[in-house]
Amino acid sequence: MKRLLFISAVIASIIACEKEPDSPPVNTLDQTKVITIDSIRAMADTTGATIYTITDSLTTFAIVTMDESSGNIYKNLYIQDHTGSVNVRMTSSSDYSVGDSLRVSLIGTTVSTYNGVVQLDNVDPDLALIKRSGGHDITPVSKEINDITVYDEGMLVQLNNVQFTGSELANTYADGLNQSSENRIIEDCNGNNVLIRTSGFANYANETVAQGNGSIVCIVNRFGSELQLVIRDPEEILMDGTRCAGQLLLKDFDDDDVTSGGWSTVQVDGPSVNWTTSTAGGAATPYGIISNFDSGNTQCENWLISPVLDLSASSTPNMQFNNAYNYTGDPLQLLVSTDYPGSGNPNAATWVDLSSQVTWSAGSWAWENSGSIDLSPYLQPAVRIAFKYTGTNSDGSTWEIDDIIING
Amino acid sequence: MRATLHYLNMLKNFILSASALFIAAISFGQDTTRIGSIEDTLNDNTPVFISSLEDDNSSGGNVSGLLQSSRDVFAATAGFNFFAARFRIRGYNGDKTTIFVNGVPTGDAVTGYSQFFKWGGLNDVTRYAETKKWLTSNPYHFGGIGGYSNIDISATSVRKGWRVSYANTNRSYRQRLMVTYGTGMQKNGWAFAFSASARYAREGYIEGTYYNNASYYFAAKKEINKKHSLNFSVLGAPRERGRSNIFLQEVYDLTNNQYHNTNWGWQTLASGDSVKRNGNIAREHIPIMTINHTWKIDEKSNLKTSVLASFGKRGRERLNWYDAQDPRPGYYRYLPSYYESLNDPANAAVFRNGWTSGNPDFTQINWDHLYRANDNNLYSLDDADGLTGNTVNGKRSKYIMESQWSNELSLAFASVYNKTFEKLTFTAGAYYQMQRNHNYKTISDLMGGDYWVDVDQFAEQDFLDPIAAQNNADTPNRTVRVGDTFGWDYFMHNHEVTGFAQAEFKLDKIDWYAAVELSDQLFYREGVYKNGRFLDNSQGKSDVYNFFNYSTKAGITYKISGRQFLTANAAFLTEAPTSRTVFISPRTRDNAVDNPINETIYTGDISYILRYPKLKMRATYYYMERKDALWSRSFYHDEYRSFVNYVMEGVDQFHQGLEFGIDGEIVGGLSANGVLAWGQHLYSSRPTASVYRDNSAELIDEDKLVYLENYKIGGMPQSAASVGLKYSGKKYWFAGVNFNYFMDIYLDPGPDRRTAEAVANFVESDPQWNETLDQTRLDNGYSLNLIGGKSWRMGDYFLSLFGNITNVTNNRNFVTGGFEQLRFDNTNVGKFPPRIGYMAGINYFVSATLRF
Repeated sequence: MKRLLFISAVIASIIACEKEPDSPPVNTLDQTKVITIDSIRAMADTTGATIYTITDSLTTFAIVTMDESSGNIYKNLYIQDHTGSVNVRMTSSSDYSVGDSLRVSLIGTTVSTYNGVVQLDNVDPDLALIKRSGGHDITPVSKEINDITVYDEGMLVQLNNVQFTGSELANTYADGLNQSSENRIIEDCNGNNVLIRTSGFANYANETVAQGNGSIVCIVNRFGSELQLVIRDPEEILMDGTRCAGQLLLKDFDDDDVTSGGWSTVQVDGPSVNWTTSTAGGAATPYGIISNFDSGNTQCENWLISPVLDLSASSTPNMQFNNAYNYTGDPLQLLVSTDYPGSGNPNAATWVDLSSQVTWSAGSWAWENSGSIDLSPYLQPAVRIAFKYTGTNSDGSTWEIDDIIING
Repeated sequence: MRATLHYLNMLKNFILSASALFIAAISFGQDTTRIGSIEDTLNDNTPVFISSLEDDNSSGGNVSGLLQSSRDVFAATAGFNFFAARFRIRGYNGDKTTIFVNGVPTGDAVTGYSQFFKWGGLNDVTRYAETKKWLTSNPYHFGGIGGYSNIDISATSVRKGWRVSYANTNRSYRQRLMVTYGTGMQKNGWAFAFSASARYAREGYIEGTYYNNASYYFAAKKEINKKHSLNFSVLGAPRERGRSNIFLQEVYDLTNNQYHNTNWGWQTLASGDSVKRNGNIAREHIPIMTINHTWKIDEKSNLKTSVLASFGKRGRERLNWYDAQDPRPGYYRYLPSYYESLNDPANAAVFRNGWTSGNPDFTQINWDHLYRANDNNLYSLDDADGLTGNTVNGKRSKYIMESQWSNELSLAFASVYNKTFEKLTFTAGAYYQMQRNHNYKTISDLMGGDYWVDVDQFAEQDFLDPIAAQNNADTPNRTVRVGDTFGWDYFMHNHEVTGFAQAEFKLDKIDWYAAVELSDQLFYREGVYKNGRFLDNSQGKSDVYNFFNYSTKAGITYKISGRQFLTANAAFLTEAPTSRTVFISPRTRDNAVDNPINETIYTGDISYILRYPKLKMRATYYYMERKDALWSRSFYHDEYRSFVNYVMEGVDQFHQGLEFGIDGEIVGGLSANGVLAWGQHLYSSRPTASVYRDNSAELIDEDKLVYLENYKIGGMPQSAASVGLKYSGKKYWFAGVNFNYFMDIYLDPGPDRRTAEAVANFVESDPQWNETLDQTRLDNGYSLNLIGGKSWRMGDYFLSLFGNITNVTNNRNFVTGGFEQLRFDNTNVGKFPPRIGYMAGINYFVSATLRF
């Protein structure tokens, strides 16, 4: 019996050698051809004039920071490594998702710049993108709005304590019915703001923007010099906190309407003269304008008065606007009141002249930003500002104003 | 005419070879007596019964039922205790074991496999089959390298008297009633026997399955005189089963049921009641009739001659659909993982909720939905039934139940001559078999529709020419109704003729034998339909494929003592490929593999055997190499975006291993047994694959190298072990327990994943590299089985009770096998995960038998 066991053991040990399974010829990764995303970005012609085609068997490893699942981007991904991030444009839609670790085979892909955006283009998701594993979520970089620059293009950022501006609160993220992209504005509590651009194909396009204050995660995008943030997942819009004052008022005349949004005009004198809108001079969007010249000057006093503002909860309210003028005449005045009832002759109320705080246009239609005008002496529940235009029978300037913003 | 010529060639080959064989045989030498089978004398009283959840043996011809009657502890354990884990002795498929009925081989000529369904349920007739599961001499035929079983169905095989038994079980069937009567050989020289058996389950172990079987057997034998006897036997086992299938782990996880069966669904009847209807039904009834003539020429020689005929129907009923969604709940697009992979959480949640809540609209076939789809499909078919301008209006079925038939007609003739000299037994035999399989489809249910149109919807999509979509181009746009033949219709003709001779010597210290066989096989296809895609090569007879083969084997037993033996056997043989693999897509055309060649097999074993009254042991090492086998399958290929026929040539396999069985009495009636099967079953070559587009026969790829070498042959434990105790009481009772352990279980490797093309996009460090290439290995598993019985004698009546409980611990986590899907998407390696099956939980079988 022992002899038998011994013989069995010997036979077993002779034949028990495990045979290695076959394999097709091994493809190995050339470690000398592995590059990082900053190297890809460096290949791009920043003028956008030429497209660089990668002809070498280069590889990069990166993690997906934005995928197509929300519909906000299509046939696009954003990927990131420790050196930077880049927009990937694919030949077809893919199933890769945020947190996927990819090996990107770069041969045959192109690197180019489109309005400042560096794009890794012509990427076949089936052949060039190899998912190695999932669940590697990259923590977004926390940024303040005014810290973001065009050089952050492609980066995953998180903004804290921000909100959609008061004038956006009735809007949806985009026009999902016509499937067209739209821009919305978010701001911080200091009134700094930036655009959020959303595709009309996004699955949340028809949702009304978040109403509160909080955080949002975005990819930084740009269109030339204009920053546009892109929401990667509506779940990451965590803006349900109490709003700060933020932007209390925006009057940009883009709706071609002087009195929309609760604004009013009062013609104290000169019934033929009034505030109106115009795009003269080649402006992209309308602005507000007033002039007392119509084959001769007319004596007038015309007010443009804001809706009532509650500044009682504000800390450092301030205001800015753009202005331009031409022709000789009385200067435009910026006034503030805490007791104007909203109608009737404004001269019956008490107004404080703030004109001296304004940086005014140098004339000849040259646009000037007013600079920040301090409204903190007026922390009252019923504040209005007004532009008062006066002219005589002998002269009068033409004033143009635009983009009136009051921050809380 | 071409076929006739081939017959003549075949005959010529055969005669030439047989002459050579005969000369060789005569020169073997002088007289000896017949070697008694060592295994037969091992006096193990292993109980006999036949059971299993899937005892139809359709998936590879498992001989377990017959093995259980073996007196070799290894074979008996493999047959009963290892069966649930799909263990295969030596890793061989069923085609390597020859099953004889009255000495006539009964293998299916198309596949080579035995056809157990032909006699299923007739346990009283088949239980005492003579079985040897290894290389051995064979008194009937050359036989397979995996051994043989001979089922004696002559009238004298049934014990004289009545035998009535009832069995109750919770496996594939629930109840069995069996009545058997034999007269024994009577003084008038006649013996008669009959048996009838019925097995039934309204619902089997797996939900939605059912089982209806009634088997019959009759035999009459006449001893004409001292020299001649004549036997006639007929048996048949008509059966209908609602089947289960194995699915993805995902389905089991979603339903929290590892035996979930998606083959059935609820159907609302006109009465408003709902019934469970199975959408995958198997039906068989292919009776066997045989006449056997035994001629005792003298004291030392005899000639046994048999004619065997077998014909009947065998079919599968299943769903088919046209211009409609896949009705099978397990289809991959109906599973949440599909939507998760598409980053579509909304749809994933819909399907996940549907599955996990047990909503039958998700988890089962939705029959009512299919009927509604048919009911709503009013359709005007122009130019119907081959008549221009003929318009057929009515509800065109989108879904049907169709039956796919493979009806067999076979005739076999076998004649074996035995002559015993003093120390030699000489055996020579000739065998001829013809088998004609008629393969076609019929409509079995239009499911509320009025008609079905006999066109191929994939061809409609692929080809502009409308004739290409016609399955039967002689009658374009043929409308078919219940009972009509459609789809495909062809015959497969197989003929085989063999001659063999064997000499067995018995000397004082040494017994040995040697045998040789010559055989010739031919087959051809005969198409009935002219298929619209293959107008030139679908109708009529194909080329005839003819294969000439030879086999030799020899063995020696060295008798160390009367109780200790050493044996060694070796065989070398060539085998023809089967018609099933040579024809690439016989349903539509007669295209075949270019220059198919015979496979070659080398095998051998050595054993050490102990045979003491209280200790039996056998230890064996075996070795088998199989060269140049052919492999072909059809599946959807994601890279080529086409249904393809995939043919591998030069598939080599390698098997080696140890078999160890011991059975010894410890004390009193208590005995212990142990079995170890250690095996290494591998693919051992890099086959070359040719890939054909199924719809056009276009050769898409050829000489594609498949890197299969050293992959494990899957679907079975490569190794298994069992230890058991058995107690036999003095008052005719016994009880036994066995613990069984199964090791090294793999899924069979899908070839297309193991090609350079499959991993072309990947580098070795990508996870996809190994994910694509690595073979799926399953966890080791175990089972614990109990067995027991008791007999009483009451005058002339014998009552015996028998029972067993398998998987006593209710181990429901043991994956016993499955298969890798051949479909494979290299852009998403895990998209088509393997299908796997679990060992059944605790189950039982009890029977009571009365003999008188």
